[in-house]
Amino acid sequence: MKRIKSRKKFRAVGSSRPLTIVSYVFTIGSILLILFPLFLMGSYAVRDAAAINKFPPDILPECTKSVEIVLDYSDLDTGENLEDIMRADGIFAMYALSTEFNDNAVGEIKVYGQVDCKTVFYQRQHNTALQVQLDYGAYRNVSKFDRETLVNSQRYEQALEVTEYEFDLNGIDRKPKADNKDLDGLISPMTAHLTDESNGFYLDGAISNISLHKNPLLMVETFKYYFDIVKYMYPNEANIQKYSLFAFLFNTLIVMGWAVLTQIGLCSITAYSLSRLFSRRMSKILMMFFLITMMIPFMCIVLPQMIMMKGIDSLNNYRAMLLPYLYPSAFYIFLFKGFFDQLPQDLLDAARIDGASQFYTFTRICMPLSKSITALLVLNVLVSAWNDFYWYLRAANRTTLWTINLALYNISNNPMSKTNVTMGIAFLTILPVILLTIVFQRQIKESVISAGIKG
Amino acid sequence: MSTKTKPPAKLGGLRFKNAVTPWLFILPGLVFTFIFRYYTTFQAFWISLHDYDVAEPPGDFIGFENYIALFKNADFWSAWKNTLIFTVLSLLITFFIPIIQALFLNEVRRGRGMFTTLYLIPTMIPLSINVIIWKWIFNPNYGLANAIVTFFGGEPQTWYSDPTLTKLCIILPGILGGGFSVLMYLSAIMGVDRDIYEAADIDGCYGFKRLWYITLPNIRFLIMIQMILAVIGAMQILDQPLQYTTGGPNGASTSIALHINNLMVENVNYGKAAASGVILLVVIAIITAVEMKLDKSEKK
Repeated sequence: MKRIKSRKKFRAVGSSRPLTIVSYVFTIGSILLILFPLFLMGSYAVRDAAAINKFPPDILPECTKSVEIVLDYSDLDTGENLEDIMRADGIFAMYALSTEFNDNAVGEIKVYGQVDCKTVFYQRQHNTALQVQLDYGAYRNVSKFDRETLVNSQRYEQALEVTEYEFDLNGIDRKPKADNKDLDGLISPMTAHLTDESNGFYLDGAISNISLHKNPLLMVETFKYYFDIVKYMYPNEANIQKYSLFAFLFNTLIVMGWAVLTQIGLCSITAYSLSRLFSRRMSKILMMFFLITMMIPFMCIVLPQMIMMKGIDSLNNYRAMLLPYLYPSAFYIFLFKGFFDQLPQDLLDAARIDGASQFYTFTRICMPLSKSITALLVLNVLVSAWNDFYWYLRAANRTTLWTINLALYNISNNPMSKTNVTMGIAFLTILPVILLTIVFQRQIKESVISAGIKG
Repeated sequence: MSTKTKPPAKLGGLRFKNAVTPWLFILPGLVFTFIFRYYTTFQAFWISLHDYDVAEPPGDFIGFENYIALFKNADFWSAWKNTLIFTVLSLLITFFIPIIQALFLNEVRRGRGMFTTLYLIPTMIPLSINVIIWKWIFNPNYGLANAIVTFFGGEPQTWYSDPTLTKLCIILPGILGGGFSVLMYLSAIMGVDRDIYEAADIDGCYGFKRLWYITLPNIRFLIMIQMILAVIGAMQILDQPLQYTTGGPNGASTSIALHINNLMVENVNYGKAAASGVILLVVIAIITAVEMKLDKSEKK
């Protein structure tokens, strides 16, 4: 007797220590497995395009480096032209290094221009910003990156527009570290590359110092440029130029909002009349009418639905995306009805006797009592609208109408997009959603648990 | 009470109102369900009987010739075979994972709220994002999958381009489980009566034994429903093969739904597309009916 008692102290009813240990291990393991692909996506996103193509692949990215180049112009006597010369040197140095050392995890390139040990010029670009210009912007479709192509062409003007710099002959408040710190022995190849005059590489200033430092924060900064990259991918779309990824988010939110409005509204009012207003026999017949539609595969009706939409001029516009949500999902009606059936009839009768109309009883008495099931179904509708794909692909496949799901499908299938870029954009879109889930975790959990789906 | 005191002339109006209100409530739902499901289904059947002409719809009436042509088509049958394999694979690989996860999650006391939320993450990831990462994991040249295979001394595979592996690779990402179903099962498990546990505990049935003999049988109803839904869902599998492989290599991952899509988009043969849609409808109806029958007889 005593033995049993002492054993009970150590475990909850029906549990045992091995089970508890296995449960924790299994649960944590499952969560880690679920998070692993996301982690991998983020890890690939912060690498160079060339560094991704490595076998066997690294799980962790290489730490990004900050490259600092100090150019000395003391021996040059050009006076007014100094600014132009320095700008050209800066642009040339940055793009030449970015193309040549594209799998060495170069994160940013800083160029300092000095006259008599006084800094007069400073320019800084993140490597991803340079890559964007090389892939989509000023230096698109260029294969040779010598001084002539980089600086003496129309493209140069374009590159200058997106490059900020500081210049003041009286000196600016920037001081290079200039500590000759080297990483992976990159200083000498970089110096050699920038001064390789036989291939048309030269700088007007003299390289007085190149040094490299580790800076992991540059990986995070990468995402800032991934956010803007969509603008370069679709230069002819006005709303993407203005809002970038938010344009897709906006479409997704419209669809989600409309879906919640129509689905919850139509399903609840239908379920209410089935549950409370019709006779039992009539209600059963009508319920069958709805339930049968659950068996109809979407592929069976997609073609007639498209023809119908075309008939009312609703293809490839917002109507095409929104109208199909008017069909109340039979599954939701079924769940609403099951919940309404359990509500005490007395409460509704009391309202009726007090002279409330049926509609008033429904909106003011019935719905407030059904918050938990409503919350669960809202969550369900939001998720299914967020994940909806095929109908939009067929009926609203236009850049201006893309939802996030469709946009990512199209971007990843675009042969122009590089793998690290698509992963970066994907990571950017999914991160806020995961954060939102964690922020609202209590509401989400409670809505599902309290809706009380019983075995 | 109130109706009795009213004068008889108004009584008729009230009765009329009482009879009409329910129909007013249900009307929008009825109408839209009719338009978007019944009418379209009928249209699909109607189109399937025609050699559909886009310029002059619906074109020539040809009876069941579309169906006969489909039954003679090898691609159609291979699409059905693929669909069957997809269904079996997804039941074997992905269906039971959330049940196991929910069973163990119920035993976790500390941090259950957080784990529950984290289990929801797979639902929040759109398929297109999953495709981006898994396509790279299964990349034949640089992917992680081949790194693991070669680490254990195997031969590198081409995965999605391999006709025998492609279907497995499309289903495999689902092995991570999670999603809404974990929450559904969890809430069902939490709804199991505590008294049963206590009674079983006294009889010496606790720990793993209790999971198997008490908890699982008590949520059998939900498992059954989820299984029916999973089979119906797997029969219609479309987005995954479309996004991962667009049905390739050489049609090895073309499900029947994707086959309908191809008939519609690539061949622009609306009559045949509608006909295979109707066949899919019939098959799903039969499967649902059989499953419900089985479920009912098991309950008895």
